[in-house]
Amino acid sequence: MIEIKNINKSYGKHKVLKGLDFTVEPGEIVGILGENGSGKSTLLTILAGLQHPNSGFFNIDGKDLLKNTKLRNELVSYVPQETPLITELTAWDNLRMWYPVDKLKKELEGGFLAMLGINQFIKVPVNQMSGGMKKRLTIGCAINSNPKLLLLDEPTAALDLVCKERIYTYFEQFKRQGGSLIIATHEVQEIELCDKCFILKEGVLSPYKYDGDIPHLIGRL
Amino acid sequence: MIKFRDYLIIQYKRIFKLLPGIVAMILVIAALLGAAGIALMYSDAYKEEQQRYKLGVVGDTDDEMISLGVYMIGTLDESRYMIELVQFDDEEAARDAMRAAEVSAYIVITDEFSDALNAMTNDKKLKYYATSGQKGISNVMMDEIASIATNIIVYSETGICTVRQLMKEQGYDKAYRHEKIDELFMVYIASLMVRTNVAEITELGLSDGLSTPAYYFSGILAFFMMLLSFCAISFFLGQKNAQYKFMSAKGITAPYQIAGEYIPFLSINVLCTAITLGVIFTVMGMGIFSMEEFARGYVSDYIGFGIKLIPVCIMFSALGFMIFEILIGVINKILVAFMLYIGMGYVSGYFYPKTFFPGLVQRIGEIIPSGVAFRYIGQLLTRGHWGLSCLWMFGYTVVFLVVATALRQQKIR
Repeated sequence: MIEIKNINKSYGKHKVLKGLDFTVEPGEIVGILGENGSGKSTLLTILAGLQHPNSGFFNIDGKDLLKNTKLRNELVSYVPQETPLITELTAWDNLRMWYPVDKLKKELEGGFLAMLGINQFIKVPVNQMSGGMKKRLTIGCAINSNPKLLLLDEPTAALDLVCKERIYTYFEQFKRQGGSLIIATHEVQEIELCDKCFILKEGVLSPYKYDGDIPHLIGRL
Repeated sequence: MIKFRDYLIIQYKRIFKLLPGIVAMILVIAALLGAAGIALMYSDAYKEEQQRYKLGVVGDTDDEMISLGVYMIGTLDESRYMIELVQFDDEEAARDAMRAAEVSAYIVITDEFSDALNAMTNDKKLKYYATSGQKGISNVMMDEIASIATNIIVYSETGICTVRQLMKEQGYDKAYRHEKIDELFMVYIASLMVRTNVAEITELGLSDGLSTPAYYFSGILAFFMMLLSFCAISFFLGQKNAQYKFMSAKGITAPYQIAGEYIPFLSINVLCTAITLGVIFTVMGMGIFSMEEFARGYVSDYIGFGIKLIPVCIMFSALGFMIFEILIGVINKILVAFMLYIGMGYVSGYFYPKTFFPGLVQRIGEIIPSGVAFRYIGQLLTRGHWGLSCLWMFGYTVVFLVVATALRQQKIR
């Protein structure tokens, strides 16, 4: 089980996160909703180890990942909102950085990378790819270590429906294999995909049950 | 888990993808700097009377003293190697010639000046005109020339006139006075003739014992090495904060990222410097230009010099890396880097001998990275002690890379 306890983060006097607590079960998708600038990305970057919280705990199966950097790098993967790929190189080159050749070939033949459809554009340079291709490739790079938790910052923003569907299918597959996801999102389709959601407002996290009522959701944000 | 080695390899792949563009920029810059360098090295051709400074003379030169002075400047004095006197009938013609850049400046010898000379009152000055746009070497040279002219025309002839007047006042007869004054003239002219032989001009170079070609070679080479990082600017373009965050989340933290990007960047700079030096030394071997510092012509001298340039490459690569890490946006990176490099090169004396600058500017020019590199290259050429300069460059490199790492860390957060 993934436990996030009493996470606090301030920038100077401005408190961005105020004692966030929640848990994520294996095979669960958790949605973090909130306005732009509400602190969603800050939370994800703290869990990814890019920032240090002022206080708090982040454990997976009882292991403190805020202190154990090496373990965190293996168990947690982070997919930022913008493309983190090396744009001058091909999909193969980008993946090759993260995968040994044998594993990469295997994954492209019938693994997660094949499921994401990356084998269809493996020789294409990133700067000639569509947004959807880049996002799928980014996820492909992120899951090289078979992480238990995938952190995604607005993963399907500005993508077409087909591409979104492909990514959602992958999320379902990842879930079925026992992986957990925390998604910072504004997308209704993603919210529907989540097993539970939280609204982050003024640094405070509160549970939210989405029932298809968008005006109500907007009112809560 | 991802290893640093993999990140390094991927960055090498990246930079080799960008290499054609980088090489194209380097070729253009090398060609431009090469042309500028040759022009600078051969600009001291005044001894062959190809590039003397022309000084216009306007006014009453009929006076025997003044005509003698003008004659001596133009024919006898050492300054004839630098100055060519051009006589004009009136000031308007001289002014037109100066505006057309046919003369660098002109001197007006007024009637009042001639009268004052003969009356030995010496209270009238020569009028010296130069364009306000004249800066740098030309201006300094013209000041010197005016000073020489003033000294020779005013003080020397005034002395002779004074003797003539004194003899007259003491009641010597006219024939005796003429005879003695003629003798004095002869002694004076003889002393000026000797003056030509008093000093033997031997060119010891412009700075730190370097010959003129070696000085400009050092300056142009250092500037080229500084610009190498500018040529590889494509390596630094694009918004990459997401990439830095992603890498960091995967265990490639800021110091590893900096090292993984800096090493390929440095490799390319070293490679390009080596190729450029190869071309330069080939040209020297063909005798197109030469430097006494490489007079022996040993291949080992060339190779040793090239290897010892690596610390310069290391420092300038780190400087470029830091600048491009600080600046955001393509235009910013290009403009600021170029202006900074030009400014640094200028105050460090890459283009002008730094002795032309005020003392404080000279001192600053010596201690900034461009100045340290310049001094180091000079020390390599003169086989001087370069250890301290090398240490300075090492210190600068550490500072630049630490700053770059801190900035990267900031971007990741």
